[in-house]
Amino acid sequence: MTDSISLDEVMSRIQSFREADTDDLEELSELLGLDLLKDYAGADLREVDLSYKKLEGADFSYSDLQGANLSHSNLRGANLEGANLSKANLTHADLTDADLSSANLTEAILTNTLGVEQDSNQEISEDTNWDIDFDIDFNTNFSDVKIVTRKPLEQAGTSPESLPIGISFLPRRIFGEIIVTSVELVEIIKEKVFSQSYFLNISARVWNVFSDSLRRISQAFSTGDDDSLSILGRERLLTGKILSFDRESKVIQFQIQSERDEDGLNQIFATMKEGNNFVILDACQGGVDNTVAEILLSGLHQEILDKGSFEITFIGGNRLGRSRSRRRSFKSQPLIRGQRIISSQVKEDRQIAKNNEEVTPSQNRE
Amino acid sequence: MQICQNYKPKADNKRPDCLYLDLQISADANENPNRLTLNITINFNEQEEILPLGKIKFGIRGGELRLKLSNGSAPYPSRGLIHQLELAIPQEISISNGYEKSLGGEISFPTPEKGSTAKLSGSGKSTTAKTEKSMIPLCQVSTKGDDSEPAWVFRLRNLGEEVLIGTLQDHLCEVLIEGKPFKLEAVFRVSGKEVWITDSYGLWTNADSRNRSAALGRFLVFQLLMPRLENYLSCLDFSLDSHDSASVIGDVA
Repeated sequence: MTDSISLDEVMSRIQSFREADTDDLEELSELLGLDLLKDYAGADLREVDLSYKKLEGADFSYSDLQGANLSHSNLRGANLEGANLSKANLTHADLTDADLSSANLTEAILTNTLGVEQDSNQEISEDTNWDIDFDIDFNTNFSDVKIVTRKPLEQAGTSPESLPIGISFLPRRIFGEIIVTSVELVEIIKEKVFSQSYFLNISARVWNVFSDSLRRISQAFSTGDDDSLSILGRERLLTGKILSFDRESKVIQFQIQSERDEDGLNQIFATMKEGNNFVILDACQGGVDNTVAEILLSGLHQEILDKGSFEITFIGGNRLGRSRSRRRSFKSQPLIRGQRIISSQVKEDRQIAKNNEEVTPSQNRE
Repeated sequence: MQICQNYKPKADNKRPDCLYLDLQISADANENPNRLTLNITINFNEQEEILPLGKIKFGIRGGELRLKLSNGSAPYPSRGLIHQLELAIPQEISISNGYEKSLGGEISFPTPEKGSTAKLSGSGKSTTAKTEKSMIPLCQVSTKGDDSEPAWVFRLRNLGEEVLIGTLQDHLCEVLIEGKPFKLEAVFRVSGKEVWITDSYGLWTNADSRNRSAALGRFLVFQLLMPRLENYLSCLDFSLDSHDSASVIGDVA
């Protein structure tokens, strides 16, 4: 809003505003001559509802969006520099190219934020957008962010220094970075993120992930045993069983064991330990399987460092309902900002996956 | 014997509750009478304002102080505030029912006898309630501009606060008088996005949704409040004429 208007006009607009039977911020803004995309920088937007809004390129810099509902909103390219997004609901929001420098995301809900693989049944194709430019800086506060899933945050920067101190993504995403970044960064993540934040700040949330995952996995496989979980989709190379589950002490003890393919399992671990190939067991969305994988990786931390370079293979996946697995490989190469480097193996695997999919429907009919 | 000349510039603080700005200008006649030392006193707080529809209380979340120097310069090395980006104002904070958590993990690899196991464990202990005074970063100050128009940008650093509240007293800069007449103008400006309504009376009710109050609050800032703060929030003038360095337009303190 750049033009001043007469007092009469001010009163007239306020009258129209008061009579309007809408609670839509965009419509209310229009009645007052405000542009939702331009006029709310630095504004008090606490707990407003901006869900499902097209906010591409909006300027919300230094605004207070604490507790705001931004779920399913398109915030591509939005200026959120210095914005207070603590406790904001950004579920399914698209933050591609958004500027989050110095933003406060404490306790923001980022489930399925950032766009890709929002639908667990969404196919990964050549067109899948792995590239996001997601600017954060040392002042971006990710304390207690809830579940960052489905999209890697390699946009943390091109150098270890660009990782803000004290950020605390859920481990899944931390290792999402490890997968695609330089070995040196592993040390930084281990030191600055994993040890400081994960262990100190978000243990309770890890617990929630376990509980939720157990429930969903149990439903998916109808095992009848809530303490069982199966990983790796159709092949079921690996299953895990909770040995103890103590809410009071917050101690979770579980055992990973092979079910149908012990040789395959041992081969995986042998490869993880001795080769340059590490395996991520990627099953249910946001699931316990990821946490298992993350713990495995944390245990393998030193081995990863010793290798100098490594390759991660995803086996199985979040396709439990589709009864098939997928495999993805990522070569460890220097990180290029906003770009995931995918090895040629992926393309081959995708082709295999496509071929499998073509076969699957007839199999299902059988 | 050191002879120190102190000058007091003319000040116009439009909303002194919201922003009070003062500059203490001094020169050491023995050492270099053409070198002025500027110290700043700036106080931020909330201000009441009566609007046609009701009353509001507002404050600012940032702003820019810019000096305009005629026949003078303020070199970067002499500028103050820039070495401490975060100016901490003592605040009392309460810590109660704290909870310290720790979590550890370990991994063992599969052996022929047993599968791979992973263990995740945690512990916690409560901390005692206490109240202590701590320096909480509230305001971030950065500088910009060339020697003839140096500027300082103030910005609320602590997002837990609504507006800037507190007093800063610090060295601002040194100014070299390079000719006469010398003139210094210090202007503090804010934009609409730096003004924040902290309270209101008669403008909206608790029944109004957050969407409605957010839109109306924004409109009031842009259309009713900002026109009153147009040009500047505070302005100070000081000058020396062409004949006598002691001839001050402004008061000699």
